[in-house]
Amino acid sequence: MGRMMMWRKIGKYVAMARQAVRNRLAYPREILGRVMFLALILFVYDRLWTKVLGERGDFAGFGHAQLIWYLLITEAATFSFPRLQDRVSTDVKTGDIAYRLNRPASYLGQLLAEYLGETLAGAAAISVPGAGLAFLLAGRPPDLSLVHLAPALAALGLGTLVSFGLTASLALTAFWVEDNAPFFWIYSKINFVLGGLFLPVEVYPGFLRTLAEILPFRLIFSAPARLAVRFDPVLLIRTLIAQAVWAAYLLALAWLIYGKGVRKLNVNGG
Amino acid sequence: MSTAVRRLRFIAGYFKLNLAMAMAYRGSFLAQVFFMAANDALLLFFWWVLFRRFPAVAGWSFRDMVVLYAASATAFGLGAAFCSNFLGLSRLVSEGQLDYFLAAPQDPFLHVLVARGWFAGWGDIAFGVGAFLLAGDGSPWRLIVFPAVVLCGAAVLVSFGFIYGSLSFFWGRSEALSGMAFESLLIFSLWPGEIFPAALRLLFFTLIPAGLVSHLPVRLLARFDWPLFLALLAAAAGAVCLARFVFRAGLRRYESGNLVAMRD
Repeated sequence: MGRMMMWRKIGKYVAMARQAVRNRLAYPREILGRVMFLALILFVYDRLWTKVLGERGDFAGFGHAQLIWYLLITEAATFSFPRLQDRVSTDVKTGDIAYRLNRPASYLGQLLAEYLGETLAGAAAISVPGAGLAFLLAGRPPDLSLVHLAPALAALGLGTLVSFGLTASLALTAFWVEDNAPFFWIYSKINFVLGGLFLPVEVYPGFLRTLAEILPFRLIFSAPARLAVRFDPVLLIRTLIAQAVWAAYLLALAWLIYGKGVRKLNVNGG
Repeated sequence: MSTAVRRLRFIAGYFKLNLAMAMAYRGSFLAQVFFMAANDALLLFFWWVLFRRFPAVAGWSFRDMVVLYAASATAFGLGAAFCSNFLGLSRLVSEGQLDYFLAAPQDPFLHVLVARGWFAGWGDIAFGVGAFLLAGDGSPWRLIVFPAVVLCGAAVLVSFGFIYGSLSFFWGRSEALSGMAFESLLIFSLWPGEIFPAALRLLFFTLIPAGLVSHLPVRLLARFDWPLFLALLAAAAGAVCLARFVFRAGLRRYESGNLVAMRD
């Protein structure tokens, strides 16, 4: 009986995630636009690496194909993550949050289910054409195989939880401040540099590399993409452990912020 | 009063109005300027890491890249701060929001062009000028050439923003296409032209004129050449004339709309 209750509880979140998948795929034009933008970025970087690295050169051990596939993975991740801040901010500003809080499901749980569903749909929609483009431009990186891709996908999955923990903690500040957009502006820039969106953080100079390795941002982008293009079993284990610890900590933090914020909340509109 | 003087006074009036609006919300204005300048500076982070390992990329040094970013950002900032409708013309057309401008006695092209400014553009200008001063050798000649070439770059950028946006007159809703075309122009203007194949570089002086926005200005800043500068000046003037021609041709097909919209 207890097990059945648990499955019913999980079932409603799965249904929300499935709805989020449908919502994300309902705008093929947006996806097409993003694929075209990705093609442009991959093309430009392909030209750069061809010029810089020549036929067989490398950048701190990363060859041309590895750098292009690395970029594909980090860009696909960036595109896939939904803008959670807009959702929470709109819920608070329009008063919709009153209806969302009344549902027989936790608000944070609803956000997580939607986040995972939308990320999965976005990743699938952009990765397939993106992989075709990367293959056409740079061929297959020497280390990329199904055996290495599976653990990299696991790292991307855990990285998504880390990303949710961070963005939810920041997005829930909308319970206190009307406009939390500047926090996200800073967050996106931190991801750009310390998340390693364009280059693996290992190629950074000393102090920046150390800083990136201490903080959780590289666990969302750089570490999973690095594992996909240059596999290393020791790095995999270290990444998965760090991701699990950070994800648990950040989800607990988001839960704490939510618990404090929901008591402060003044609902407008209706 | 001659037509030219009347038009200049009209442009100056809007510029003053845009500046006054920026100053009315001083806190928000300063925050946007700061964030945009910081954003531009962070974009150089990738190149900083790259040039630590490789001293030159296709003959370009880090200092050259800073000048390229300075020229592009200042050109974009000038356009955005004074003529920001070039960023959203496609939407204005497809939502039928040009009616206001058609009812006014001024030339609609000029009126739409100068009617709005975007505060964050000042951040691009602040970054661009600051980066140029930091990266340059400070010679007075370069200080004279910089404003001249970035004004040409801004004219080309704004004109092509108008041309891409005008596609909506002919093809209906085409925000995605015009947005993509403009995004390509911006991206290519931030990369050294030399890394691309020769065939593509032809595009940089025609359909996606990144060459005129930044590549040529940077070359002129490195080594000034009168014939090349005059060619850039002529190309910028030609781009403005072409944008006006395409806009006016499109306007004849404009169908307005029944959307009730406030002019914001």
